[in-house]
Amino acid sequence: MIAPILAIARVSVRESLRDRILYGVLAFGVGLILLSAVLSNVTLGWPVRIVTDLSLSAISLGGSVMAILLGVRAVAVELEKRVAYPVLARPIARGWYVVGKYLGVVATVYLNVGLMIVAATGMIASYSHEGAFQYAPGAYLATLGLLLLKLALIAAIAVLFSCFTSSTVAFIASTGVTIAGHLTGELRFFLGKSEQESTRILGDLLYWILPDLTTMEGLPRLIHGQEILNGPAAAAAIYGACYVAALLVAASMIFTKRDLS
Amino acid sequence: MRPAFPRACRILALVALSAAAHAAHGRAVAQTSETQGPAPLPNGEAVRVASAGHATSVADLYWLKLVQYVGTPGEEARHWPQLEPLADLVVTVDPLFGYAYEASGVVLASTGRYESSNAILERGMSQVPGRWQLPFFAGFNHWSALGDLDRGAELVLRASKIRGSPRYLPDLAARLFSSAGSLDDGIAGLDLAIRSTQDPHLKDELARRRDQMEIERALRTLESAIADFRLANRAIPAQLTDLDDPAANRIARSPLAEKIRFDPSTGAVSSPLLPRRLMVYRPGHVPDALAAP
Repeated sequence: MIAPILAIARVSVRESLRDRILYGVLAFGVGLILLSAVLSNVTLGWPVRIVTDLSLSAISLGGSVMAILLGVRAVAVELEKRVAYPVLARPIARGWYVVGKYLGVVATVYLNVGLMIVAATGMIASYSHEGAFQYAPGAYLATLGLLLLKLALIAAIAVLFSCFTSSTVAFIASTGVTIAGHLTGELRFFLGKSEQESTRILGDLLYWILPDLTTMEGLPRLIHGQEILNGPAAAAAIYGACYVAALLVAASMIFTKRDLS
Repeated sequence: MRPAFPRACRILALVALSAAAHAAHGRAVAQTSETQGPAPLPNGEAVRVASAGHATSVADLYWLKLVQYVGTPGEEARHWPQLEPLADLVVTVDPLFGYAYEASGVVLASTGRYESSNAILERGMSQVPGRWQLPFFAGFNHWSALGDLDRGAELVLRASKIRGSPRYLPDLAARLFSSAGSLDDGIAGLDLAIRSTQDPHLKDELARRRDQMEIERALRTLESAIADFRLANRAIPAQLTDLDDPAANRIARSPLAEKIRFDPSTGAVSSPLLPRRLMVYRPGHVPDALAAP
């Protein structure tokens, strides 16, 4: 069961790494990290905050774009180009095909994001006071862990949409859900102000159904020196992992029932 | 057949045209901002929502804009009219940005806008209660400029109880509580603050406030000496070096005199470096509106 999933993931990584758009996004992310160092030189006070904030945000943005682009291509483009059919003709459950593709997407995103993290961490270390790293290693690693989990969740959203729509629609829908996922609290707050009961219920529904990506934002806590490890990190990790699992189950079910003829 | 107008030339012409259009746009924008003032800032709450999970990074970008604004030539002379809205925007987008409260408060105080300075410092005190610098600077404003010595000492004492605050703060608070309002206490307090501040920019601002206090002290000495001179001679001195008082005479001959303006027709002294005269608590001289409850 595991071997075919890993084989699909390996092929998916190899195919994704050939994609030139990925290198464009990677260059964009690294460029933003370098820009953060330039900008930190024109600030007052604490330059390491600017470097940390802007470089980790660049990773978050670049990683999100990669996760959406690769997630959308994982199934929808493969079907549009009819590349998926020979694989699906083999005795492999469609659900495992989806999981394999998803793992391939996540591995590719992590490879690229890993490079950006190395660059950003080097940059932050060079700006830290008196040779000591500015942040507690546990808190910094927890922030990166939550960021990686958020990217895995965004990739799962993109893979879900790519299982039942065209690549263009999947791209638009995944981008929309990712943006809305950062605004669930605000959506609930603003819709909750409505005088109509139905609008308030809609606000509550969106709050509970949409992925709350802000729970996986460790960066504000890191730069404000707030507790991460003993605070919300564990709950956020469980929430993210469960949401990813739910999305993959839904994607597998939808793809299994989809008529590909 | 070679085209009459090679492709490279066409591209160059397009680039040149685009650059010219960009320059024209820049001139038009500059003219508009000259006549209409700076572009309005967006609503902080809207920016925070639109930042979609990257509020701290957006706050950083507006913070950099604020820093550039403070350094803009000519704005200092106008006392940075856009500073408050920019600072408000930064701390609305990221309410936990402690340094933004602190630096904005210090810069606003250096322009004589002590109420605005205290407003942002007190907002910071409620959002970032663990930052001792905020009650310290607010207390100093109350003490040195707003004439509320008790409130000033109370805030410095509050700062001294925050973890990580310098060891000298309890002593300073005690000194302020017992002070009769001498500027020497303020200068001594600022000396301590300058020594304990790591940030070079903040150090500069504190040094500037220290200079302002020295000027205030000099102005008071001169005013007192001018009053004595008028009583003794029934005339205003023609110049400050004519003053009989040795301390005032010393000031008139020191480099500090270059920063002081003397009006021989009225006998008034002032300094362009002191946009608003500093006040300290003097029993019986405190205006009702500023008196401590």
